Amino acid sequence: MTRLFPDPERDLRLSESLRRLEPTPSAADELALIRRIMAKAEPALGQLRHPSRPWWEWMAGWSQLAIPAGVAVSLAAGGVLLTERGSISSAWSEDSVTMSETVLSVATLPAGEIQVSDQVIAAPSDEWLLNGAYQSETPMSPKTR
Amino acid sequence: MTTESNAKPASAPAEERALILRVQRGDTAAFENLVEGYVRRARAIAMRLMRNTEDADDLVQDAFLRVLQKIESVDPERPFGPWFFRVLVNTGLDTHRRRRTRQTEDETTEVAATGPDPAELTEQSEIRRRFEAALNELPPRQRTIVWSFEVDGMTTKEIAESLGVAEVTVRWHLHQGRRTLRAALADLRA
Repeated sequence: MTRLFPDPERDLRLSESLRRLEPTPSAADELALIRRIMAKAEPALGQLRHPSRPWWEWMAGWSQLAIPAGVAVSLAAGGVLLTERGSISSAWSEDSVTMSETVLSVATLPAGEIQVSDQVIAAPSDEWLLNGAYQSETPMSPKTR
Repeated sequence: MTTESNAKPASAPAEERALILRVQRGDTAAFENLVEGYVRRARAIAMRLMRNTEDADDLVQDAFLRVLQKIESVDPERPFGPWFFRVLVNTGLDTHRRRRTRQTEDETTEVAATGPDPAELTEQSEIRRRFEAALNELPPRQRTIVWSFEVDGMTTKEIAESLGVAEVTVRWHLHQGRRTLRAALADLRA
């Protein structure tokens, strides 16, 4: 296809003058330059061979493992908690029964001042309760008779 | 604007495409092949821009390292050369802007050092000296355009693509640059 405005003709005198100013390339200098470029380029080439990933890519990579692992650990922890909850609640209910029986027996037994104070202050042991129970089964002691 | 501006961009040769793909994976040998393939022309362009061997070699090195930094975003289907030379020239122009003051001082010193020597005051050496001075006074982009057109035989469209500028800009710079250089030569002819 022809151009509307073709390029101007080359000026031979100008071309020749410019060529004379062109430095003759030295093969040794060229080789030295290539070596220099290659030495400087090596870190960048190494980077291309083993690209360092930005933090979000690391996160994305790890999330593929971390999220399922987190879910699995959570499920396991939930299962353990559910199992343990049964044994804890049964132990708690046993304690509650014992406590309520103790309270009932205390409430129904005739109690002396010491026994009441022990109950209020918290007795060092349940021995008084056993004594009370024993006394309730033997209402009259031989001395009283 | 020409009718060719809507043409489909040229695709990269298969060999170069494979080379770019290997460089993108960090292949040292492939990058070395790429450097070896482009270093000579890159040095020539860098010399035209910087007018100093040391600076030119630094520029070539910078351009190759910049290319490596951006290699992952390079489309292997597109020709590598025009993009690389655009990086080279733009890096050179940036460097030149930063070093403008120092560069001017160096050039002044160089001209003074190669001052009039009675043995060398032949017409040819005088032409060369004056022509070189005129060339050095051209803006770096203009100098590169004139050189690419006159010495490398590139078309204005190719130069525009390699520099990443409009073709009309290349034509304007070419016109201005050639006029300045011809004036320098014409004075001697008279």
